[in-house]
Amino acid sequence: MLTKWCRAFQGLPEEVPHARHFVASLLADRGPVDDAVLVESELATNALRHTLSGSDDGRFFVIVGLGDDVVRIEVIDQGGELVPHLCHATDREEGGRGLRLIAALAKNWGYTVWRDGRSVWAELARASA
Amino acid sequence: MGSERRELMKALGARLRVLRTEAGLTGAVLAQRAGVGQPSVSKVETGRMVPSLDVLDRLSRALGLDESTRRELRDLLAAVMAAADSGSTSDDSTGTGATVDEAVRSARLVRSFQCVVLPAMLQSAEYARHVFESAPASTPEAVGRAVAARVDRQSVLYEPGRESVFVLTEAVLRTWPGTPALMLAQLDRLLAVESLSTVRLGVIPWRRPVPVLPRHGFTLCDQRAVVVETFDSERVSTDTEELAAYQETFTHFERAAVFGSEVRELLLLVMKEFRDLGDPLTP
Repeated sequence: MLTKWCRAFQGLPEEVPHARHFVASLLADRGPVDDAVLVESELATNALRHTLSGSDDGRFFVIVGLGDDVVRIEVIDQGGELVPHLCHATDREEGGRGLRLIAALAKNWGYTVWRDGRSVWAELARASA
Repeated sequence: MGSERRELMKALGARLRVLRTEAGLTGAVLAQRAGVGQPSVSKVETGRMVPSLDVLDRLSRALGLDESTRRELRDLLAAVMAAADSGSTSDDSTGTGATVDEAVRSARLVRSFQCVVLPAMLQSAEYARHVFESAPASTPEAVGRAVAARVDRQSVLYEPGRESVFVLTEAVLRTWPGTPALMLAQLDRLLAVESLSTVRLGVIPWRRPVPVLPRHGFTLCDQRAVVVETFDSERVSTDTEELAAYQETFTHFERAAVFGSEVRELLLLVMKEFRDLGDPLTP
C-alpha cells in the first residue's frame, strides 16, 4: 500500500527547486533520490510551462507515494489546452523531451486529464532498505 | 557530570553482564535471541553505549528476567538518561525513541525548526501514523508503538515551567498525508496549541526569502542536545559544534518567521484552501 504525501506549490519557476527539496527530503537516503528528483523536476516544469498552473495565482501539487518497493511521483496541474505527449527528439518543444526522459527512467508512467486539471505520474523502483 | 554518566553506564552494563552469565548465555546467543547486533551487546555491557528502552526490553525478554529485575534495569537506564552528559554520544534510536524522549522531557526550553513535515511534538496521531508507515518494510506493530510513544511525549507541551518554540515554513502547513480532511483536523490542533501560554508558534510565509533549507528538521533541547529529525527517524547529538551550528540556524529561521495573530490568520487561510481543494486530491 502506498503512503501518500501531498504538497501545494505556488505556480512560480522558483518553486521547482522547493519541489525537488520536498521529494529528496521525503526519500531521505533510502530511495531512488536522483531519479525521483529528476522526474519531479521535469513534471513540475511541464506543469508551469504548458498549463494554467503557470499563470498568476496558479498552483501545482506534488504527490509522493511511498511503498515498500515503489516510489510514485505525481504532479497535478490546473489544465490547459495541451495534452501530455512524447515528442520526437527533433522537436523544438522541450517539455515533451522531459516526458521521454521520464519514460526511460520509470517502471511505469501515465496521465489522467479531467475538466480543469491533469495528473501526470511516474513510478520508480524503491530498493529495499 | 560526564563521568557520573559514564559510571552509571558502566553500572548498567555490568549488571546486564552478570544477568547474562547467570542465564548461561554467550553475548552472541543473547544478541541473536534479542534481535540486536552482537557489537551492541558488547558495547552496552562495557558501558560504551546507552541502549534505547526498546533494546533494553528486548534484552530483558531474551534473558527471561522477572518483572522486578526488568524494573531495576529500567531504573538504571533512567538514571543514565538523567545524568547530564558532556561527552558526545550520537545514538540512533529508531525503536521507541527512548533517548530522544529523555532529551525532550528533561528540557526547559524546546526549540524546533521544520521544513518538511510537522514537528513530532505537534503531530496528531493520524499524521504520525502516516509518517511511520512511510518507512520501507514498516510493520503495523512497530508503527503502533512509535505513534503511541510520540503522542505520549507531547504531554510535555502542557507542563508548566516549560517553554516550546516551533518555527515552520508555510510549505509544511500545505503538506498533508492521506486526505485533506486529516489535515484540517491537524491544523485545528495547531490553532489550539498556538493559544497555549507555554508555546510560541512561528511560520515563515511562502514569499519570504529564507536561508538555505536543510533537508530535515531539528529540535534543540535547552543548550544541551539537538534531536536531528529526518522524515521518519531521529537521532540525538550533544556534540558541541553541531549544537552551536543548529542554534545559529534556528536563530536565522526564527527571525524570518511571523508569530501570534499573523500565524492564526495564516492557519485559517490555509484551512480555507484545504476545504476548497478539488476531488482529484482526495484519493
